[in-house]
Amino acid sequence: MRGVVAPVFGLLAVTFVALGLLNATLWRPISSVTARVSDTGTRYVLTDSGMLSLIDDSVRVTVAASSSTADVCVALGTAKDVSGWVAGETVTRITGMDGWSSLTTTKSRVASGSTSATLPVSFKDSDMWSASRCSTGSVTLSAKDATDRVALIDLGSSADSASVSLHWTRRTLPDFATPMYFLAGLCAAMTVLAASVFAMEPDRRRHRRPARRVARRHDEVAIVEAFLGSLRTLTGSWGRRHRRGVRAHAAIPIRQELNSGRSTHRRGPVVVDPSARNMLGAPSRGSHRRKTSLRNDDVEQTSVISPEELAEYFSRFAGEGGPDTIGTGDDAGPRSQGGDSQ
Amino acid sequence: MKARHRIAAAAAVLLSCAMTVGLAGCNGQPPVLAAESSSTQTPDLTVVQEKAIRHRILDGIDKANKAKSADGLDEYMSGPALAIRSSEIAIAKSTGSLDAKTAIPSGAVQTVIPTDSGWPRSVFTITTTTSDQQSKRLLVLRQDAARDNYRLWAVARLFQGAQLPKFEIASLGSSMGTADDSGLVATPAQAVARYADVLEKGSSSSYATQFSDDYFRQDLATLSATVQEGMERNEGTQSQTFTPATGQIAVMRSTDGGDLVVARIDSTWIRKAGSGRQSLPASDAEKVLFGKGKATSTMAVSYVNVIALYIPHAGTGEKITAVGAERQPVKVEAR
Repeated sequence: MRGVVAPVFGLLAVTFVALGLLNATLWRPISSVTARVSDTGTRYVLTDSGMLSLIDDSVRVTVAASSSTADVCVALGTAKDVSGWVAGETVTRITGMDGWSSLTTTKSRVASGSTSATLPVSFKDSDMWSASRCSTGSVTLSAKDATDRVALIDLGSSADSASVSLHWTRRTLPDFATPMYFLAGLCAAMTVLAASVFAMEPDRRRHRRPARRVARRHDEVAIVEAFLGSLRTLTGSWGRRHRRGVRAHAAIPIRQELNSGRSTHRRGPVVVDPSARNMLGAPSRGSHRRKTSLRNDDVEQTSVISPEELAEYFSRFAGEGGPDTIGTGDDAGPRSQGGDSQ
Repeated sequence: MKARHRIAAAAAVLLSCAMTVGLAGCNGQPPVLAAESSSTQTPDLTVVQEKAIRHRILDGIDKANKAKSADGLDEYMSGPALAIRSSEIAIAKSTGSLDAKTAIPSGAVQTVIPTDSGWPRSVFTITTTTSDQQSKRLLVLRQDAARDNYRLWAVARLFQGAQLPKFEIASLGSSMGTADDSGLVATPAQAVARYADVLEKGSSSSYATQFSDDYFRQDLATLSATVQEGMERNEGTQSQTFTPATGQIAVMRSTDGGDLVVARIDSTWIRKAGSGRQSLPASDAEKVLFGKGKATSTMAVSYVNVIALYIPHAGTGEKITAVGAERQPVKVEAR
């Protein structure tokens, strides 16, 4: 757990932080959008309903005629007013965006109105527009809130083509960095948990078991060793000599135990009663046991006979065959069940 | 073994880098324009726009008043208001100043803005009282076509104590009506025609019971009675005929189901002097309009009347009420 899972989560956390930083800086969505169309070809150009507030509420409409002496006008009004003004004409409608920098248009003919004007006024004098501006060559009109407005552009009676551009500055940008930071935080939390809580032996997580006199095996590694070992394994294949892993193996301590088993055998009889083990858990025995218990293997907790005891037993078999075997070395199980010895 | 390890590691690094591309923030596609779902009625003008239009029109009329010339007045006025104001200016040219009743205050207490998307469109505005405490005016601003501007189509002086119906607030807008609106005590066209009949015949008209008494009728009745006395002394006769002008009607629907109607009624007053006498202009105004004409025994004075009627909903059973009127002689001729 600590050797593999925790470093993996750690690397993931670092990756997510890096991605979050990139999303916040290099890959940030653009806030200024300008879409343009040129060669409109008709006298009147108008935007469809909702087009002006497509990206953001406030918009800047710029019209540039191909000749610098032509009178161009742009006005903002409601859709019904604008379609009333251009009744009976062929107009170019701006219908949408094609990618982030160009507008789609379509030419259409507006139905004729039923009433004709008695005293027609010029474009910029009309009462219907909420804002209008006229100029020669090119004109710009900004609107703070264009949510239900439509733009109408009049290129003059001698209309040649003109280019129309709509510019928005996005005030609310989509945020891709925060989810990355959130994931990085989760991975960091998982790293910490995997290195500490999830790597604890179960008796430490539940309740303490009674103290064991036998020495604990050192088969769980320190965190730093685990990281270094993983990194070394990754980089080892890139050209360095492939070293033997430094991971401590469970076999080595057992061999040590086997070797030391003979010495306990010579000390005298050791009474080990397996039924004395408290299967439900044990109260805390003190801080000195903490270090050793962390390194115990899970297997040890589930067997009545510990591997050390088995090792001792086997070593005694190895020393059997001498004349003094009856009077010595009584350990658990077979010999005592064999009945009384006389 | 080493080479395979290296290749495997390289592939793993590349794959993980490739997968992280999906986590990169992109702009994505620009939003698509949704199809128009125009079901809500929006007012044709904002309150700010209406105020600007009203000020523009009243300023133009003021200029013509000051210049005492009706030239260029048709840019700001149309319909019955134009006829009435032209006559008032002609009278003012010789009397020296406009009649006090021609004052139109520029402030407004209520604006009724239509939501209709076609043309012609009418905006009803109720002004404040004048500076010399005359009653409020009901202005009808009308845009005949999309390429026209708004012009003052009718002005009616509201009667003191007249109850106007309720309308939606200006930011929501009200709906215009037509001359044939049904569901009312009478259609607007019928109501105007019946009122013209009542004006002509007085209480002997068959429609007299449908209308509640109002200041205009009382005023006219008093005037007729006075003139009649004078005529009888001179063995003359007099008669008035009232004819509603077709198509010169503006209707706005109120929130209680009734309609507020402003219409033009033309009337002619024929006075015949008896026993060889001449029939002369009866007032200063008529004198000015008559000008240098030659008086005969018959004098015909043409009037333009503007009346504002409130027609209640059919279920209420109430009477039609006149809430405002205007009356002005426009032509005096000897026949």
